Formats: sequence, C-alpha cells, structure tokens
Amino acid sequence: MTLVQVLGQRPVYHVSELFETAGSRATAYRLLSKLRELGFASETRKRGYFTLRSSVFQPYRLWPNLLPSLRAFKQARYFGRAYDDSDVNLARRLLKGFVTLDYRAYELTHFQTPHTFFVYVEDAERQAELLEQAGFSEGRKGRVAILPKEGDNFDNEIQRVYLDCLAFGGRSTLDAIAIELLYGDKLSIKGEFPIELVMKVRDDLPHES
Amino acid sequence: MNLDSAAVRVSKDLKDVVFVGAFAVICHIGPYRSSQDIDVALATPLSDEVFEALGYRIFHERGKKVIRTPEGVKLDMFTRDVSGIPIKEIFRTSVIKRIRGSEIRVMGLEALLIAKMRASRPQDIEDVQQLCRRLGKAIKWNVVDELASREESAELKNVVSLFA
Repeated sequence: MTLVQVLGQRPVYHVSELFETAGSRATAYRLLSKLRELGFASETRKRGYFTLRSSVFQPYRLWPNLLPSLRAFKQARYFGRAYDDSDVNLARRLLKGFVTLDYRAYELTHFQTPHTFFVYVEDAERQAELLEQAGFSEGRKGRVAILPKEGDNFDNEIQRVYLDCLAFGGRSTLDAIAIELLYGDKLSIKGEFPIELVMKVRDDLPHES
Repeated sequence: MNLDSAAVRVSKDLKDVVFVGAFAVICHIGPYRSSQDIDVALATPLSDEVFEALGYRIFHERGKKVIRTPEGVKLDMFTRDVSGIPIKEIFRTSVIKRIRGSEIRVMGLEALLIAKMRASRPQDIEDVQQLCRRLGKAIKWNVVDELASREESAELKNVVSLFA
C-alpha cells in the first residue's frame, strides 16, 4: 500500500498514476479501494480522481497507530447552527466528551487558531439529538463534529490528540509537530516530518517569542 | 493578539505591502486556521532603522532575524519572490480587501493558488483544496496563465474542476 507514497503530495490524483507502480490497472484500483476503506483516500465527484490525506506519507510502521483515528474521522458527524464561533461555544456547553484536533491542539500549543470543534463522545446518537434540540442541523459544513470513540490511547490524552492530528493531516500536521515540540516527553509514538516543516513550526510557536 | 488589527497596522506603517500566505487565505475565504504570524511581500526592502523607528522590534533568534510588530505579531518578509512568483507580479495581481474598516492589499487568488501548489506542504495542499472549493469559480484563468507554467495551469484547472 505504501506504493502510493511515490505520488508525492498534490491536491488531487488520478488512479491511472498508480497503474505502472501497482503493476496493473486492477491492482491499482484494489489499492485505491483499500486506501479508501482505511480512510487515507477519498473519491472526488469525477470517476478515477481521488485525494489523499497527507498522513498516508507517514512511514508504514506508523499506520496501525493512525487507523483508529481514521476510522473515527470516517464516522464523523458535522453540525452547524450559526456556522460561526457561537456554535463552538454552545457545543462546548452541551457536549460531554474528549476534545481533540483543532481546539485541543490550540489549548495545548497556542500555535494555530482553531476552526472545527471535534469531540469524541460515548453515545453519538444521544449527543446528536442534544445538538439538534439546541437548533443545530447535521450537514457537511458544520463547525462542530462528533466522533465515536475508536481504539485506545484515550488514557494518554496528549498521545491521542497527537495521533489524531497526525492522521488528520493537512494543517493538523503542524499541530502534531507543535505538540511534539512541546510535549515530546509524553509521546511514545512519533511521526516523521520534513525538517523544514519542523523548523517553521518551531520558529512560529508563540511560546518561543 | 489579533491578526486583523496587526495587518491593518502593518499596512499603514509599511505602506507598500501585500499580505501573502495563510493570512491571505483567510482574507479570501474568511475564518480559517492559521498560525499567529503574518507573511508580507514588500515592494522595497526596509532597513532595521525604519522598522525600529516605527516601533517594531527586531530580534535574532537561532541566528535568524525576526521582526515583530509593537503588539508582538511575528512578520515574515518576502522581498524577491513568493514561491518563484516575482514580487512585482505579486503586487500587480494583488487585490484590495476590507478588514476592520480599512483597506489592505492581499495576494490575488490566482498567485496564492500557484504559490501554494508549488510549496505543496500538507498545509498548502489543504489550502489549495479549500480555496478551489470555495472560490474556484472566481479564478481568472488569464492571470493564472500569465503567472504559471502550462503544466501548472492545467493541473490547477483539473483541481478546480473537481472541487469548485
């Protein structure tokens, strides 16, 4: 499956780019299907085109640690009401759970401004009802996201938030780096990052000023 | 520490500036994630004395010169190019955005997309996808064709066709 790493990081790919590396069309399609199943790849609306989470470029040995987060992200349910910060403030009061990604990373590092309030909950159905009773609608663009608890590592909060950031990829990769720079001693599982990205985060971390 | 007010101040103080990077993304699409620094393209490099006279602070951290606004916001300066796009072109294709009642000059959508595609770090890829999803239909393709190679332009058209 790591064959996909030869593609390099781009906004979008076509399955035909994998034909040669995979050895055949059929293998390329099977590979893509498996990556989608794991949560690393997503189909676009045009057949054959797909996007990849940047976490797919992490070493293969780390993938098992990312899978619980990816499984949770696939089941994420997004909610919105006013579609601004007030949604997050209200959701914080309503929902009981384990906060991760944007908001928890910001609390830990003050590195990147948060956008979406991601929270792991025990009973997603009940928490969704609570949000709907408060005027939230479920959709694709909301700034509140509830995630079902998947996998372990919830005992080591910083490790779990770190792995979530690493698995989510994109801008959350920077959060993972910031967490590692500040709380490296609390992490037993660590990702791999280009040195220039680590330097950028180190230079921009507010506590360093 | 508020980036909007810092940007307004920087724009008034330094005058010939264009905001680039993540702050430019926010100016185009609205509230989004960004680190607490501002990337700025300068038409003409300014001396340390000019910055200090304006109340900006200059530090040397790990062998690198760091400039901070009087409020402490870190500024990253670009004086030659942004991801290979010459500063002259950054200024020529920039747009005016209204922030907190003031007008500031921001990197144009087209140059921003090209710069982000060239940088291709995880955060850049996410920014390209967001920009194309929200503003893909507003891209001026003649500007893209002026700034980018034929291959880059074709790739961007493909991305927009999938997201916009």
